[in-house]
Amino acid sequence: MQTHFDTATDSPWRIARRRFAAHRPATHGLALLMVVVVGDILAPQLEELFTDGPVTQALRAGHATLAFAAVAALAGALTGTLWGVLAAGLGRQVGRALARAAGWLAALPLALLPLVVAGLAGRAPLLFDMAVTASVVPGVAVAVHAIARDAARHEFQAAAEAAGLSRRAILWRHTVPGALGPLLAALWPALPRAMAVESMASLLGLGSSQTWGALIGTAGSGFTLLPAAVLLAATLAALHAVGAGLADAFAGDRP
Amino acid sequence: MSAPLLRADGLTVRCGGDVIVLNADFEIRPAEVLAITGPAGAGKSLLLRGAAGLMPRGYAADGEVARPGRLALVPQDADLTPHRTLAAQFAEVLGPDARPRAVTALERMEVSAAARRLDLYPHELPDGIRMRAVLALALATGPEVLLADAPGAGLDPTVRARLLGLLAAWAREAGAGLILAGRAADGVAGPADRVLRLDHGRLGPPAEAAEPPSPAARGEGGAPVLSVRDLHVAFPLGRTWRGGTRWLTVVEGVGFELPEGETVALLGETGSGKSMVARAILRLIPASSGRVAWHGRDLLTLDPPSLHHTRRDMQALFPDPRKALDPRISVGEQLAEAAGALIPEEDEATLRLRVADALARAGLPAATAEHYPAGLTPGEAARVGLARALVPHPRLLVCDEPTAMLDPADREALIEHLLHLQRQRGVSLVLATADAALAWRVGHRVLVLLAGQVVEEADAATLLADARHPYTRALIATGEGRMPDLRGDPPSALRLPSGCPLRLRCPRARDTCADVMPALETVRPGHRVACHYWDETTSNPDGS
Repeated sequence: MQTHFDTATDSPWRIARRRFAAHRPATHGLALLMVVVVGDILAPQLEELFTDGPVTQALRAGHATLAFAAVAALAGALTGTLWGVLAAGLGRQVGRALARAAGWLAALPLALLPLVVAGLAGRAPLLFDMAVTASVVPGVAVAVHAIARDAARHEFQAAAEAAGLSRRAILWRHTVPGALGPLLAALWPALPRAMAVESMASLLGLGSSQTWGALIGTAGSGFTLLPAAVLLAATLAALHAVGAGLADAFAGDRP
Repeated sequence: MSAPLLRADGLTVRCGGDVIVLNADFEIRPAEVLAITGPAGAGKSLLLRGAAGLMPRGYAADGEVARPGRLALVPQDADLTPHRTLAAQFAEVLGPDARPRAVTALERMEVSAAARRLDLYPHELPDGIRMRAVLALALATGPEVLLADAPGAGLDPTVRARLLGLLAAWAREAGAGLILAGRAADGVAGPADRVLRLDHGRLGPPAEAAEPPSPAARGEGGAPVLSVRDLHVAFPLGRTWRGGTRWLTVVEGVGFELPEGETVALLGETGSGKSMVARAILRLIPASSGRVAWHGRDLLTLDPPSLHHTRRDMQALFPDPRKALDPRISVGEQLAEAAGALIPEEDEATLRLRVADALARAGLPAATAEHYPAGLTPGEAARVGLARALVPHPRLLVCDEPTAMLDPADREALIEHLLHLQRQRGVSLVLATADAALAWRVGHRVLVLLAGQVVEEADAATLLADARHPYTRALIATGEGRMPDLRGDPPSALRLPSGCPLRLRCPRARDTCADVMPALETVRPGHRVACHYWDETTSNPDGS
């Protein structure tokens, strides 16, 4: 699809917004996400209209699934961001060790971490939550490390320093705003990842019994399984599509 | 006159409904070298592909092209197949008994230890050797016409000029036709017998060549405003096994004095340290030791408030003008930001006037303030960079390869702006450049840098007439479009040879050169050179 913007006079944020709007899978994914969220909000009213069945159960479970994924992704993103920023900002040896550790851990099949934790420590909800959160942290740390490292190397920072700006002013006026777009695109995948890890573990009987994964795991037949499975698959696809749109919007030299 | 080997009549290249090249007529005869120059995006690559009959998908070529039976095209950024050895790739083109011809072709392109390198994979070869191997692969097929698109465009000027010279020598010896396409900055016109220019889709003769610029007049030699002494810059590389720090020294003992209203040119190629000197003067990178005195005050020891105050006097231009601007902030905001930071005592209205004045002095319309950097051409971005530098009315401009990314017209405009500033306001300039012609033209005094050290220094006219160092002579030859007499590629900064850093490429190198780095010796007052055998050369360098 043709994207219409003027690179000369349109602000970079406006261009990013238009690029996102021109990314058809991303806009469709965003619309689908909104439908899922609205369905989740309206679930109590729908329960009054329909008898309690797989559809209303799936809508009800959406609340727990989305909330759990959002909280786990947020915690993982914050921890990973801190890790990545420290790896880029600390001295040579410590920074390199942190970056190497993030790279090694990100290469492991961390989706299995909640299973390993449950196997070792039994069904402990807090540990399960921490394991899901931990599964997204190294990937975020690797991405943030790369962004933070590149953010400090732009020529316009040297130019700003020559133009009399203090280091602090350069950081807050140039470095951080410049990194926000790529950071958003890099952090977004933590959300579908957390959801997928939680759903897989819940499907196997670990974690909460009120999420889509748990409904799929306990479903007796294809019909009872279908609503939760469709909602989970559609939500994951929508989240990934939105992530692709964000990456496209913030690709290149300018957001 | 012999018949043309390749002839194009009315060659038109289209992409859908867009005409990229319209009715191009040209021909190439045996032993002739034709250069096709033009700005980036002019359609030179597509013109060559049209001439070769190898149009990419989505493009179409009309018109008549009479081609020879054996024609080779080396596209821009051509590379070798990564998973096959050189020998395998030569064998694929030449057949099973390719080895002797491959060695001959590689040696023709001055690839040392050619027989041994045939067994290597492309990733085991340095960039310069890979480029040579690509060209050797084309030569080995014995083409009647070779079309080369920006060959060696990413290489250092002396390496690239030698490569182009070797190609031209091959064409003249073999009686083949050679067409070199590239930007003017790629030096393709240097060894050519004829030059055509492609611009706005039309191929024609180039604009009348301007008189070669004369070297800058000898400076007045007043009291220096900027004095650099024994400047060293080094970066930590890691730890030694004893726990000490390993250092990479990129600038070693550089010094010069710059009188008011004059220019010092720092001339050198990649890794010469010229940019590091420029940035160390501005304290954009830390110097290890030395002294940089501006009106007698050592900038290297200034506290932050004093340095901030001094930045009003000293401003910078950067090599990639677009990258020197924050893409997320409009031009006007960036200029206002610089004005506010450098002159905090002025009110907003005065700062706005200052910004408008700076844009006007850089030759930009006021509406440019509303633009974002992504919408600027490199030439406009360079002027915006100049406008930002002019905001505080500086007395010193430190220019780090300010024309490296510009087309000839933009380059000329920027240089004229700088010279005008110097004439009108007495601004002093430090110009770091790899362009020898620019250094002679603008620099009152020229320092030639190699591997972080000054190897020759004198006023521009003296150097142009009587350069003594082989490296300076090679740079002069390159600037004049002749083949420099330096073989091979520059060594890595991490693995410099012992003694003189040029000795592996130098035609004069002897055993002594490996023992000790020559010190700067005085040829005459104001002219110093660091070469063990500087007195063996005669005046009027010819590049040989």
